[in-house]
Amino acid sequence: MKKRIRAAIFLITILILILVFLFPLYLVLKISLSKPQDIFVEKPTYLIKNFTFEHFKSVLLSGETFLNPLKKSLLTGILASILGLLVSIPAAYSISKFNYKLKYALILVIFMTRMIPEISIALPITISFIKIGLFDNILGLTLAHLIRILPVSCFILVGVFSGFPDELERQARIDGASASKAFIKVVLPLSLGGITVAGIFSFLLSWDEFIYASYLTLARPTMPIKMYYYISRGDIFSSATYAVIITIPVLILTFALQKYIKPDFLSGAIKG
Amino acid sequence: MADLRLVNINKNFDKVQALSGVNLTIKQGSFCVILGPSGCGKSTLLNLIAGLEEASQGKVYLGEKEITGLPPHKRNMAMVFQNYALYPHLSVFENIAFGLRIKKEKEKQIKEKIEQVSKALNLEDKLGRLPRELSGGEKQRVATGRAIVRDPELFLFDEPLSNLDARLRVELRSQFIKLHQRIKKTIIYVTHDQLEAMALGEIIVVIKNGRIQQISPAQELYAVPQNLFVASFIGSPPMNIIKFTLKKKDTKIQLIKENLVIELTNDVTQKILSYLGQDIYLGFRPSAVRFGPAGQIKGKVIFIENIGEDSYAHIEIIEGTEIIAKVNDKDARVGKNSVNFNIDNQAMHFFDLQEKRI
Repeated sequence: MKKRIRAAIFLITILILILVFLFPLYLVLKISLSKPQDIFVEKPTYLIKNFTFEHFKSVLLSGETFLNPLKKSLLTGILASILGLLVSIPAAYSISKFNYKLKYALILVIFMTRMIPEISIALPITISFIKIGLFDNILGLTLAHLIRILPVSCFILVGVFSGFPDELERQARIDGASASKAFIKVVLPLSLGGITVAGIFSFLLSWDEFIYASYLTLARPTMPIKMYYYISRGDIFSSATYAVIITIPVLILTFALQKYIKPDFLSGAIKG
Repeated sequence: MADLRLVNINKNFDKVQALSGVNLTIKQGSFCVILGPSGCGKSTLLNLIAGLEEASQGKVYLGEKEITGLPPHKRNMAMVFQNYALYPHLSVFENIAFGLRIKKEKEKQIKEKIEQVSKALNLEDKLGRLPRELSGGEKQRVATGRAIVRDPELFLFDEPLSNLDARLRVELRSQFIKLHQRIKKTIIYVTHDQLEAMALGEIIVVIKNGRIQQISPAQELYAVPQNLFVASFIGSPPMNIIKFTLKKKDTKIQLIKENLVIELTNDVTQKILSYLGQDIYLGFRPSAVRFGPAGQIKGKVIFIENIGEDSYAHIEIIEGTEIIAKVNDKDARVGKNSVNFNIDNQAMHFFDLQEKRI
């Protein structure tokens, strides 16, 4: 009986927490699907009275106004996660080979780069990027995003490679593979799950990034910048609609992440 | 093909000395078992031979060629780990083919070789499976197949049977002997199981705390243990070991402990004469006990263990000192509470206080 009460309390607490977290998201969704007369009143209702797809239609059918930011955000995100993996895979693999203390120290040092607020280094970065032609283009923004991405993806990958069974690598070495070949033929394919997680995470860090994008953008905005553009102009329906559109891939990818985290992926290698 | 020589090997991990002063020559084509309790450095020794670890000091030779600093992939040795380390993302076929593909052998050759190996190991119908779909014994055979197919100069086995159940272990044991007879290559086999070691090894190297204790053929290891550790480690049930004071009474040499006196026959006393008046260890195997009413040692039977064909009596000879004795059918009277027995003087082992054989 006592156990049941405890379980019930636990469940109710969780439900309340979920509601608190989801409420703002609901409000955004509600605004994006409501007619103005529902919103611009003294006491707005919690439910949608006059349902409409008008705002989505106007955003989605606005042609290049919508498609160009979408393209820029997608391309920056994809490029940033690929470049990020290319740098952090070898870095994380090397770090994972150190002993525990040194490994911890190195990860700490890598995370120190995040101790400096982005808003304070965005300006010097922008100035130097203007000089070398990286202003207002995808490559420049990608490089700036790597500042946030690399520590996180390194951190994830150090965990992935540290958990990799030493014996499989040793076996590959014994079987005649050089260190790099053992890495490519055994470690890499078996770490794909973790690498995918790091890649998706990198994409998400770039996808909703605002500060670097706002400094490094002139004529070609990303999705968050476009959304901000509508906020600053008071078009709350368009900005809410953008907010929903930005959120959708984040939701999908987060669910996809769960699928890729398979702790039993290595079963069958070690022990019977 | 050549002899493997380890010269003055030392290996330290931080402050722990895993191996010290190891000198070992393993003849080409022999089946050498490295035996020792867990944590004694035997796996480290194997990793050192494979090139997975580097010695802190000392040199490794294969024939005349020094291979001390050579990375594992340049040594042409095959190793089977305790937990098999099969590549979980590859099928049995690809697991076995891994080394051949690294060597860039032709597809046709790879197929032929794997066919041969899988036939010998009875894996033909398992080639398409993934490691997680195999039983423990099958995994073990795949790991062995992966080693054989590369046709290496040297085979290293790191406790390959210890994850399997007792019956399978005995079954696969004979496979190793047959394998060795067929391929005639050097095999170095690490185990903590002395029965396995005795059954397999032509030459057994006993290690304790990173030091080699004895290098002998199996029978010699059993019959002439060079120190107290080897004496107590080899044999099941273990050798009885009791500390005595050596004294001379009239012309007789006696072993004395409290009120227990064992008189020795003259033929064994020669080698221990110089220890008169000192303490020494007496060791004797359970099979060296001879029951009889005239026996000079009196004891109380605590209990009798029946292990299939043999029975072993646990006998208290002085308060707090128990020995184990093998009981024959004709010794049925041992069942009684108190017994008399002698120890076969020829089967006695003596060790000094430094635990060295006298």
